[in-house]
Amino acid sequence: MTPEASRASHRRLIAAHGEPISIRRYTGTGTARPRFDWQGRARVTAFAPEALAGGLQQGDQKIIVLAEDLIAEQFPVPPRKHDKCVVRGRELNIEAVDDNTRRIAGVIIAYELAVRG
Amino acid sequence: MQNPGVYNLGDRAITTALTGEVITDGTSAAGEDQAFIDRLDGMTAATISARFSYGSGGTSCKVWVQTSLDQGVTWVDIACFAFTTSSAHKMTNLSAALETANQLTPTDGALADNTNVDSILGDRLRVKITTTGTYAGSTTLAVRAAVR
Repeated sequence: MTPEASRASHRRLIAAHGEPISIRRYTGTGTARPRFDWQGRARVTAFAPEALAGGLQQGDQKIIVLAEDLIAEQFPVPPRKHDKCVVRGRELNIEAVDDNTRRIAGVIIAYELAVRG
Repeated sequence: MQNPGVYNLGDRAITTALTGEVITDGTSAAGEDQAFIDRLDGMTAATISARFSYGSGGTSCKVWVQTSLDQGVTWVDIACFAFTTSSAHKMTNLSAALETANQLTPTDGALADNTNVDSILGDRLRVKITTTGTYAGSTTLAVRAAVR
């Protein structure tokens, strides 16, 4: 599968089954610290029970977000551990960012985020 | 214009003195890191917000919003926000629809405090800051642009 075909396939999947989310980045510390949200569309799922190993916990969720959408919003990719993901109004912590699984021939198609909260 | 919307021109926790530091963190169309926001061709106006949250210490923080008319070879100040030792939120609007009465000599990190250069908007924006003294206590700066 070419990167273009994979991207098109991901886009169809996320258009059909995804939902709007935001990735939120805070800077600094304290209550007045600034933040900025980048809006996108993503597929939000639970991890399969057999995947719950290592640092993953029950209740953690997997979010698949198209890299192209973040780049279009000029998000400074990649998302980072401890950035936040806002799903249905709830702010979740990004525990891990996987930018390998959905990379085709070196081209990043989508990020898999492990989120908790 | 291409891609109207609200963009983050930079967030920074301010501590030790900085000289001419570009704080914008963007991404190219190819997904590469770049220190500016681009793909703003046809931008006719930019409303800029600069929010300075003061903690303690420090002396001054100058914030220059810049654009480029030659694809980033040279950067030109189009607004300067000056902050000292108190929290403040400042805004301004820049318009490319106005005709300049005179020819302008561009500056880079030298525009006078709290002034604008109107009518000059290229296809990209960034923010450069210079601070003096050592700020502490969670001093932060956040700059946004609503472009259309």
